[in-house]
Amino acid sequence: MIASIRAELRKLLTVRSTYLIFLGCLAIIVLFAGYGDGIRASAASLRNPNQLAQESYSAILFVGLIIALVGLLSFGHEYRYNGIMYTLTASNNRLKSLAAKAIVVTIFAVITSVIFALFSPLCNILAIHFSGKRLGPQSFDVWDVLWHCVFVGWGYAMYAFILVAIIRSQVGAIVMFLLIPLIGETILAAVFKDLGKYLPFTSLQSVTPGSLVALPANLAHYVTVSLIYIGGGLLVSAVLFARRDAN
Amino acid sequence: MIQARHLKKEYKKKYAVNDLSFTVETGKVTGFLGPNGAGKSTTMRLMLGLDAGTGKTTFDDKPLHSYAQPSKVVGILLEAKAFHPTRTARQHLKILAAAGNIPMGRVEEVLDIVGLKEVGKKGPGKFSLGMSQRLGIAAAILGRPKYLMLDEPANGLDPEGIAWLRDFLKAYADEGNAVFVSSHLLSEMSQMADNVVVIGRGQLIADTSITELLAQNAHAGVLVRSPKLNQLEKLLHAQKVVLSKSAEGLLVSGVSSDVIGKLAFEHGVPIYELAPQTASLEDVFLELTADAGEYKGKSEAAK
Repeated sequence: MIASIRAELRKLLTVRSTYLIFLGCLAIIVLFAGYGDGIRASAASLRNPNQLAQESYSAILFVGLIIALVGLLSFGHEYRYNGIMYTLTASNNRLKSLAAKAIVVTIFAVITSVIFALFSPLCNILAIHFSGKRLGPQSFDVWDVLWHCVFVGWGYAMYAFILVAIIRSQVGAIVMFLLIPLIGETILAAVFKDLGKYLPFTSLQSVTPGSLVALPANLAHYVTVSLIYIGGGLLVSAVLFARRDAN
Repeated sequence: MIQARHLKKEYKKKYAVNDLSFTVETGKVTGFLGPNGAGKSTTMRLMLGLDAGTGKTTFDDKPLHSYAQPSKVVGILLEAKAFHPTRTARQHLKILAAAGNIPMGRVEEVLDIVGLKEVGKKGPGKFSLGMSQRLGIAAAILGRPKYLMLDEPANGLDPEGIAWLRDFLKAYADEGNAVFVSSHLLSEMSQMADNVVVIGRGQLIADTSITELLAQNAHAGVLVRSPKLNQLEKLLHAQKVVLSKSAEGLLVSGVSSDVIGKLAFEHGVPIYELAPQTASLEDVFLELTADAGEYKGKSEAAK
């Protein structure tokens, strides 16, 4: 198992896309948190005591979706370039291979979520400072912000991971992963109204306080619904991964 | 040895592999032959557990998944371009080494063996087919496995590369390992393989040594030229041999040239030529798989 995890980590860290996507995410944060909400900050946002926490949540809601593609690509490349046969013949248990992939994606998602959750408010502070403005007193509970952000970042990564494990097509999984939250669930939420609180991405995004989605449910509900989707998805992925042809 | 027993794989109610059983012996190179679509690649994937199907394959009497480190038991090359195109060749091998608990120092050794040390830091996406095959072979031998399973490893190799591959695989088998290799280069296979497994439409056609396969073939025998062929034919009929007449003379199968010479001498039949004939592997292959080809081409004139 340790050998499989080491191999998966190497896979993730030896492709250009990992670094390009990560740098792209940082650039987006600089643009939005630094320029948009910092240099061009409105008076209202400067007075908002939750401004910095909101920067963390906004960052994870948007770039968390993009960074999740790294995990998707890492797994998707195996099917696209047929490296999956090496992965499966190096291990004596398919489920071990899948678990190793999920663990590595989890590690990557947690680390990048923490980085984004802290980098975004830092960018905002620096931009406000250097533009000669003054930010009002802030309420920023680091651990509270971090767990929300890590949960959402990890949730996105797991959704992406599950999609590629089930679909086994890199392009198909990317399209699905971007279409479901951006278009699919928007339409479904409009149709089903309050039942939208049971949708996977809507639930996950609602874990961040003050998210765009405002449905009648509490945090525990959204966390539970997200965990059920992730748990169920991983179970389906495991069953399919163990039984299907490796191609 | 590798023992494949009753392998079966069905695609949309059609058998790609149908009750296939054979043995791959250690210390030998075993060629795996069959026309396009015969099920060679599927068979290899079934043996490795990559495809779902029925049947059982054991490596030294144990299934592959019962070994703690399978990549030290069997090395595979099923597809030449099975790598990420921008990850360097060296990194590709290091990933496989990490997955198989193989020391990283072995990566440099195998790059050197296959002649890719100079390009180890390049992405293999721009490698030629031959270079990709070499990288695949490096990956296969990384764990110094007892068994090698290679699907068309000679594709794309230049003549020097093919000669290197032949010598390398023979030497690998001579060390007490087993090499199971499929190829369409029949002349190469006849020089390289000790045994052959021939399949057609997913079923076993032959599982024997190259020598036996060639000897049993209709084209094999002894060509006899004599001014008294009819008399010799009558004498040979009594020996229960297979005879066929041609413009060149009489082809006698099932008896050695020594026996024919002695018989002719005893009965005073003059002999002008007594030439043992050996069929080529291509002749034998075409004869064995005459009805087993899934896809057959036509000449332009036949349209």
